[in-house]
Amino acid sequence: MLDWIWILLTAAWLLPLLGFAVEVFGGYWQQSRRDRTPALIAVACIGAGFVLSVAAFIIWGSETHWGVFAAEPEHGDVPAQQAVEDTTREAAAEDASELQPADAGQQHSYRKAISGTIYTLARFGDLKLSIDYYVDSLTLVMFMMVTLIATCIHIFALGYMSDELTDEYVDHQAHTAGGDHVHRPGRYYLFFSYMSLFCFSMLGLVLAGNIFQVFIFWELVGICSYLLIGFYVERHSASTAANKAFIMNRVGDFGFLIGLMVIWTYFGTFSLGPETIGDETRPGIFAMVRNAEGGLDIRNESGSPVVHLNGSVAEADDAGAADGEAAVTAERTIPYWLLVVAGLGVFAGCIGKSAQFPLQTWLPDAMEGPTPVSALVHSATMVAAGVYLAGRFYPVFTPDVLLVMSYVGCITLFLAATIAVVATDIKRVLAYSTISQLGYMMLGIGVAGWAAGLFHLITHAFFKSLMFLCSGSVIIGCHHEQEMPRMGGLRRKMPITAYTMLVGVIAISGLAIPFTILGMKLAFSGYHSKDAIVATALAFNYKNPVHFLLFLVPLVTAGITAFYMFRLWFYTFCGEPRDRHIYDHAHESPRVMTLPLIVLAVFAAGVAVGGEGGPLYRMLLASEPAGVDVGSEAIDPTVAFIPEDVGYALVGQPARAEIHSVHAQAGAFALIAAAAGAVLAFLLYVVRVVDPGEIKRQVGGLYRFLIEKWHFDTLYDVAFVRPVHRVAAALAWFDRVVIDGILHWFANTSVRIASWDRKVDEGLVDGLVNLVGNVTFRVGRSLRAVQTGQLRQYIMFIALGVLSLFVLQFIFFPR
Amino acid sequence: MQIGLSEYLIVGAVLFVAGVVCMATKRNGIGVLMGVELVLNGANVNFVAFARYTPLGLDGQIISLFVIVLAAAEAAVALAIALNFYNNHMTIDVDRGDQLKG
Amino acid sequence: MTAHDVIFWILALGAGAGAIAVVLTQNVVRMAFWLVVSLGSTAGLFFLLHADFVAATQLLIYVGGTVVLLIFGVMLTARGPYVRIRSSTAELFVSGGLGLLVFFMFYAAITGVDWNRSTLAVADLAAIPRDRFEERLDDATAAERELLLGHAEHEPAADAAEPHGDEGRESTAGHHDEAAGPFYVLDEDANVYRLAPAQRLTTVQRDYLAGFWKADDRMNRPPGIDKREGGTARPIGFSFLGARPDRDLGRASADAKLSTGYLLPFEIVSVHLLVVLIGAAYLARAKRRKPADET
Repeated sequence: MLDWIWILLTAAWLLPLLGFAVEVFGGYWQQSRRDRTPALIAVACIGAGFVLSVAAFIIWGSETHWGVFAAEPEHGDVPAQQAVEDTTREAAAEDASELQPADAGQQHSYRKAISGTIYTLARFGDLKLSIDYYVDSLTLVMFMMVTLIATCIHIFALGYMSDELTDEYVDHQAHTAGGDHVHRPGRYYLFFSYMSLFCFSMLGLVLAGNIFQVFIFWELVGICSYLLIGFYVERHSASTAANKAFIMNRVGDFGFLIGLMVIWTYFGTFSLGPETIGDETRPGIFAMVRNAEGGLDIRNESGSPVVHLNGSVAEADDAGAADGEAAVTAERTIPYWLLVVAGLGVFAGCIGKSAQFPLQTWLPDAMEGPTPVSALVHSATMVAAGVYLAGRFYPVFTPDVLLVMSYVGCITLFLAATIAVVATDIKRVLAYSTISQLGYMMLGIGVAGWAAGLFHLITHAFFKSLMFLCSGSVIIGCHHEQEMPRMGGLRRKMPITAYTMLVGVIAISGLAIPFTILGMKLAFSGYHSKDAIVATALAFNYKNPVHFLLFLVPLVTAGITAFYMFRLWFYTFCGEPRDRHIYDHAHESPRVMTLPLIVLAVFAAGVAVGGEGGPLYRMLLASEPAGVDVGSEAIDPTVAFIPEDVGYALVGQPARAEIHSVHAQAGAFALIAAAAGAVLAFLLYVVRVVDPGEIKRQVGGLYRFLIEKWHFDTLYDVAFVRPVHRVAAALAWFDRVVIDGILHWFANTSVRIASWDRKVDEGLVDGLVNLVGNVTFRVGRSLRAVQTGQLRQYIMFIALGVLSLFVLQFIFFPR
Repeated sequence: MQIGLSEYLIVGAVLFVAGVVCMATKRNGIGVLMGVELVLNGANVNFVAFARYTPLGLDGQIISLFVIVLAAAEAAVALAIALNFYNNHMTIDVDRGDQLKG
Repeated sequence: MTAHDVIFWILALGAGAGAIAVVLTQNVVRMAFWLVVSLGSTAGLFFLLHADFVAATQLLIYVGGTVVLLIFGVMLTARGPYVRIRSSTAELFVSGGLGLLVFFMFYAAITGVDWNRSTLAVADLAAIPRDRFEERLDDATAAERELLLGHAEHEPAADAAEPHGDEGRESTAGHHDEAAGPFYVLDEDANVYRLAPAQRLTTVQRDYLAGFWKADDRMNRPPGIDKREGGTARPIGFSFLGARPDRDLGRASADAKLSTGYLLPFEIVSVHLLVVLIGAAYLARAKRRKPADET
């Protein structure tokens, strides 16, 4: 039965590809561009994918006897007393075995990942290129999340994109060289085929069982993102934004490639799970780099720390070349710093894809794409793929990498949130909010809150896609108006949109009623996930006081988040209409668009029900890498004596028990901050205690700084774009002047030689030929007279000729 | 004087030269034809004489037979040509047929 | 002067004079007559050369056929003034002079060649390897040896050296008169016996030599002259059928290659004749001349 899981998931993964092929070709050749069939195929494919995912989930659950929900989380309800005791432990790795009973394998069958090969593409010696699958509870959750959200967004797009259902679409925002609007055939089918291709790529990324496959689909989702951002390719801003997104992603992917190369060189495999080559079964990357307790096998060898890879077999020649110990143990080893490089490389890919600092600038521009694209690709799934990969590759990341990750996330979440405060474009606010929330996730994973980060990934996917779809509904309702200052009071015109949006806003802000009813907090999903992250950060802060910013910044930003989200909602839906014209023409969207909103609102509110005891969190927890829950201690090489085999760690990581112990405290902090932000927004934009414009003027410098997005675009422009332009111009000059000059010189020389050759040809060669011709002609002419036509003369000539021959013979050959 | 090959060859030469001169002097087309016959005949005398006086043997005679036969055929064709010539020019004077002069 | 010579001279005169008369006569009909005389005399010469079949063919085809054809031509074309088309006297002189030059050229060529030596050379008898010569000499009679090597005795060796019948006596006499010296002398390099310098052989002598060498079975060469003169109709007929009994009956061994006949040329000529017949008929057919064609 377990096999059915990956078969179903593979089917769910491949269905959109089939849909893509049918849509893109069928749509291209269909008679009219007014046909909804391609869209319906796309919806059917992704909907079927959702059904299959759920089926796979049910099979998985029944195969593991629903142990994931039945068993208590190991530390979820551990008494605080014991948690305190836990913190006193010195060697976390040793105690981990106590916490996990010997029958852990039996008890936690749901923790086991299912991996295998679907199809082997090629094998080059040890390198096996194959399409693998790696299914654990995280994969299942991602599958269900992606397919569900994608289904909702597809359905929403049925209505949203319907103005493309025409044979001649007039793009009012694109102009031809003559100044006219661009007229083109509608691209309804194309949109849905791209969406299907994206779903295929995203699901492939989630299902991928080796990191090379991950990379392939990583690039595929990048391509889809590029195509979808540039969907209105005639608009200059759209094509530029598509290019920007693609190029900035390449920067990150370069790091990804470096990481891949390091991994391949030192691990000898790409596979995540156990890999079978021939008759030999080899451990995957994760099993190599971590032992059963989740520890790194670091040893000091010849002065530098080296990580031993468990269960791997070094190649014979490698063993000879390496030092003696490696030859004896016959294990592959990797220098610690290269493991850091590999982790940073992979993380660089995550930075690009998830729009983290310093590559965050492409995501706001990506809002040039149609709103369903923003909802699906640029908030819920693709950008989350970076976080997903960071979570997936958690075992490879050393504590140093995790620290970098958390600081990157920390910078990003604050930076994006501040910009979101001043943004006025409704989609851009959401885009910055997305960047900020992705920063939260990175931070969460970075501070060892593995499950917390991914928890936030799932919840965020729901409420952010919900809000994007709401904004899409608003944009459609306001006839492609995106500027919030021209909206207002739309709550009365489009109530469904407004209140579903409010659900999303409350969810992202993390507001909750601080009481428990029936043992459950009355809160939307965002509260639980953000709470988990903040709690982890606080625990981390307790353990590493020097990194206090990693707690403080997210906490403050939680308030900012609530502020700008409520600002958005108040701006758009409350108060008096600022633009009468727009308000009068605004209307509620059709049901095909509001229905997904309601569905997503339900999920945004309830997906995290139960918080850290709830099913979603438990599902995620089931995939948590070993050792995360027990935490670790910082070993400062400058202070402590380091045993030879242990290595060092810059930071300690909080155990779950420690996190749990500060949960209530952190939750209170976060709730206060969020409430403060929301109240502030209410005061500013509804009650209008102070005129926001006044504040704007008061802190004009800061305002401009934020409006200019911390001048990152300017910085990049100065630091990279202009130098590149200048170098390119220099190269172009070199090309034009030097290389073209040389080529022209050759060309001119050839022409000159050719002209000389022509003279020789015409004078000498032709002259000779003509001379021969003329001589022949003249001789023939002079001999004409001989041809008298007189038969008898001819006979005389013959006789004379014979005679002359004889005479000649007698003269020259006398006997 | 012993009658040998040389004497026959001289007779053949006389016939040949007479034929050539005949062809060269006669304006009458039939006369030209007769010259041709004489030339062929002179050649025939040579062949037969060689056949008698050299190891050529019967081969010489056979070749002369071929010459006779072909001469007859040639005479027939030439006569037809002469008749055509006559039809076209209303004369048999070969000097009148100089259309092919250069 | 034997009868043979007399007859030859008469016939030669007839042939040559007839030919010249053809040249000199201006009347076409008379030209035809003289042509008949010339051709007939030539036929007689053929008889004299033992080519009876060729002579008969000459008479039949030339005298009987071709000339009649020519006379038909004369009759069909001779109208009024055109019967006599005179050549100018100057022309006659020029071409006559040219003709004389050509004749002298021929005469010089004919008399300049030692035809006897040449014919022996053709039969590979002008130079014979020394070993073979001496081998053959061992079997030779004393008379033969004398003849070949030229001992100065004037013995009547004609009995042994008389291979031929009809003109043997005269020839032998001539032989003794003219060929007092040796037929063959050893070459300077002492490897080859060559015909002695300035050696002029009569027909009889040459035939004798050929027969002498042919008598040697080791000499794998056909005889130059069939011993039985005349009666050529049958061998010619065979040769047209592709067989050469005149050569192959006397060949040295059964393994020697058969000589080739004239079957293929015969067939080609027959087809050729057919084509000529049709062509001539086509050319000579009466044409209706249209007034428009006249220019």
